[in-house]
Amino acid sequence: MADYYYVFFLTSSILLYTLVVFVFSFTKIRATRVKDIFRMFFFGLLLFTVSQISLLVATVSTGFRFDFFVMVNSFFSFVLSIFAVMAIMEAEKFSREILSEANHK
Amino acid sequence: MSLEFSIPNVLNLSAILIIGVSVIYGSKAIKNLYSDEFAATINWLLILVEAIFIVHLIIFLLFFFDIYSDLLVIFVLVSVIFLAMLFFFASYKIIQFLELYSFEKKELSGSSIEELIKKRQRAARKERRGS
Repeated sequence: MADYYYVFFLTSSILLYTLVVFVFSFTKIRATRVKDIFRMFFFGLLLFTVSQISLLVATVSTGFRFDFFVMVNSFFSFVLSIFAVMAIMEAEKFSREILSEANHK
Repeated sequence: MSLEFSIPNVLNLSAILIIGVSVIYGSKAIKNLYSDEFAATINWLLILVEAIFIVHLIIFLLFFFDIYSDLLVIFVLVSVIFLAMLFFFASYKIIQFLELYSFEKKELSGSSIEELIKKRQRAARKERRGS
């Protein structure tokens, strides 16, 4: 079997780089109302990174197992999808507030 | 064509169901957003969830039809790399939107507002040249 850990090394490094870029740019912006919406996206990103790093560690130590990959990926993916939908719902709530403010003015 | 009730199968199937329901809810919610720019940013989150849904559907079909070749496993792994790249683009778009929003509401520092003004002027010049 090929060295599958290169894939997880690549995915974890891309996600870690994304996390660093996201956090550094996120902290610079002070628009707190909009920032709150994307906090859930940040937690989702963090979870997905954790899953890829755990897959990397598992693949390096015991070799690639498709069943284990599916289990870890499925679990973290549905948690991530719930976080993403929570972010979308927050965005909808924020939009409603903006629209009601505009109507009051 | 058979499906065993093992832990990976059950987790995969439940992931497909939950992600499918969240895609439907998400696409309904996106229609009610207040501006096109905001909707385009939030749409990236939906694209991510949809991509995850497709990857899990492929994995489910692999299990269902008892296909397990190295080529298909590599295909699934490449799609995971694609997901990681989608995360990068989504976060890039989110930061771009946050900068624009702060720029319009004047919540950024003086130097970053100047940079954004210059960026907008450059984009306007390019548009004029194009037209």
